[in-house]
Amino acid sequence: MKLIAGVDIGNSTTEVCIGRLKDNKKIEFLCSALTHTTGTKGTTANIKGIVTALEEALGKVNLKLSQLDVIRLNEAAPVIGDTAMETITETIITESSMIGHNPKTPGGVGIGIGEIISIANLDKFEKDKNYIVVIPEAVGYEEAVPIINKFLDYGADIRGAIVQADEGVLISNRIKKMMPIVDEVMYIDKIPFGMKGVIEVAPMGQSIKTLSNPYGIASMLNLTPGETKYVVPIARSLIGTRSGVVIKTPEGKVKERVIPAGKLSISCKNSTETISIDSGADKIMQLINDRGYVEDVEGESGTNIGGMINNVKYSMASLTGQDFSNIRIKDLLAVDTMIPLKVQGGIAGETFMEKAVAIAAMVKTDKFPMAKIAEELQKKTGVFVEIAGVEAVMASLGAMTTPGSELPLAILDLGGGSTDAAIIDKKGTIKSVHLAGAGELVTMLINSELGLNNRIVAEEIKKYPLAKVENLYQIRIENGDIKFFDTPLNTNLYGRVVVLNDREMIPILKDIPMEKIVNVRRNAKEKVFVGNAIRALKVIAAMNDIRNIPNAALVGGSALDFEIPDMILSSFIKYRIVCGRGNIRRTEGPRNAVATGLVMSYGQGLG
Amino acid sequence: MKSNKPVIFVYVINPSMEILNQVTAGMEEEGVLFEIVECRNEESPEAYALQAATASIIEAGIGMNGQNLRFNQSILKNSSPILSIDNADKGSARIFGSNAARFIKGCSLKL
Repeated sequence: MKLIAGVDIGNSTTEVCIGRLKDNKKIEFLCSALTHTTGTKGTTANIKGIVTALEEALGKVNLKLSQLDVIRLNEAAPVIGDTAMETITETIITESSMIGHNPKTPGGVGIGIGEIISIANLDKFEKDKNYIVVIPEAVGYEEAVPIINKFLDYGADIRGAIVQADEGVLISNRIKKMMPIVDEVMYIDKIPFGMKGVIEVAPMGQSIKTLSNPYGIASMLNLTPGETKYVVPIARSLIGTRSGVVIKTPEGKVKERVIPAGKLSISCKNSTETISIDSGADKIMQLINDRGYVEDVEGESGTNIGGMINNVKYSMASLTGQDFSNIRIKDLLAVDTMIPLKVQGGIAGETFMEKAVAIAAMVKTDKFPMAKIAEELQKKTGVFVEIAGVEAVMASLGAMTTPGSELPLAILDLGGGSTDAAIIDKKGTIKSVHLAGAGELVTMLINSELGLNNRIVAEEIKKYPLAKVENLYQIRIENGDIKFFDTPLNTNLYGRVVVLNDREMIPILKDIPMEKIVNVRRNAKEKVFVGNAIRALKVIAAMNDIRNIPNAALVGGSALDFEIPDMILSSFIKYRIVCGRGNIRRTEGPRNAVATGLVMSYGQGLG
Repeated sequence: MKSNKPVIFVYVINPSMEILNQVTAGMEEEGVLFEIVECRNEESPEAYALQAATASIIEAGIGMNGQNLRFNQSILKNSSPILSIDNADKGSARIFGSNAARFIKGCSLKL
């Protein structure tokens, strides 16, 4: 009778399975455990985590490390993934020709047209001209209001105001004439004096109608048809806002341009094709999918994508001790996305949604130097350590213990750096594939599409559901349920959308509606995981037809995600595949597949 | 006395006009109504905040003793005030007023 441990070192977790091989050659599974992987996967730093997990598992059945007869380590899949983003459009406001930041509390209502004048120069007003007065923060409303009222009394025709501080309502409530007032204009010193401007504020709950219409702007500023064409981007960027300002400057316009974002060179068996990233994700993926089998990918040097591809190759080279020139990118996933970027030339910190392409690349090599880990682990524990089993084979074996599954069985391992799939048929033949694009790409998409600039919060949003804090004692979860609290919540959570992770509520500090965050999260998971699940199964399916796969099990950490398995199952319905989270040995859920496979294959020469 | 209008009552003792004006400016800019009540007894701003909230039909009130400000809801009479500043200056008083109004509106607070 032998006591066997199977150890699976993953990118994030190290999982362990302990079993007993009885004299009748049957395996009795005893227990399992998991812990965070210590150090980078494939290095001796992993040993600390391995020992921790082993001791934890053995402790559950009152056994000791020294009682093990053999420790079986998986041949870690030699795959590293990385991500990059390239923006492919940019918007520039030239000559401060518009203000479109949509402050929360503008003042007054209506439309006003006039020459832009500083409040300090109101004394120079001319009787037959209209004016829009500009008020910097240094002149607070208590000072500004008497000045405006005084000059209104003197006959100055003031039609609107642009204010730096958040005082639009305060000013509007006190001046003698009703006029539209736009406030919270950060860089007020950029506004050109002496030019003609139009300001519009819509009633509460509505959006502006004149400045969001090119003909409206043309009417107000007497534009020629040629000039009207130039204000189309201005009008478009003011759609849906409650307030806006358009200023007629000689060269003033909103310029939108495509940024040359670098090229990708994709090499296959006989040829290399180059494609520009600004062609968009669809064209890039079409090229990759048409090629079938990618030999290598290079990125144009000096671009983000070029940098990322070089970095991921260097990482692999240093991990495996191989030469940089021998490292190859085996797969790439491109996804179209929109990201909110501060627009250049903006006077009030405006952000516009720019087009971008997000890219995940995957590097694969022959092997990780697992022998070193095995040697040191053996020294440390005194137990015989052997490297057994290609990860895909072990995972498939483990997955087969899921009740209700039968061969041929496909497994989908949705990880952090890559999406892996394998299929095992009745003869025991295994076909496997590793694809770029997985958890890390999803986090990056969430981070950039919401403009968070905070990967930690983005990661939390990916993993956990959201709720809106409605008052100090209750939150409304995204599915509609309400949760009550005995003690009042912290005021910094009030009115905010929060992420409900296991231990706490994390406030999202940006003012984004909960529905929007949910959409971005689900969209990212759909584009990456569902898209890749289909891509992966197509590669390993007999004759590349997914309908030839009757069973698929989702394994790995991401299979525990609260919505991904449902999304994948829904999209597979049309292929009639039985697909769901694996349930390893009926007890582990989607975890522990590889570790279980390592124990199962002992003594059977399946390693 | 309950006013018929949905106002935040501001009960004040030892008023600092400058600070009071900033608090009311903050509320006004957010579009929330308020009513100032000058008080005679020397009580804590917490106590006044609760009295103010009880008088208000939207059940929210501010208590001011000099430059010490408190904002509370009458439902929460057993816990500490929702907002609290001691020795407020012009800037923090303006934000205090804004936040009291934003609380009533259900918006997140300025930090």
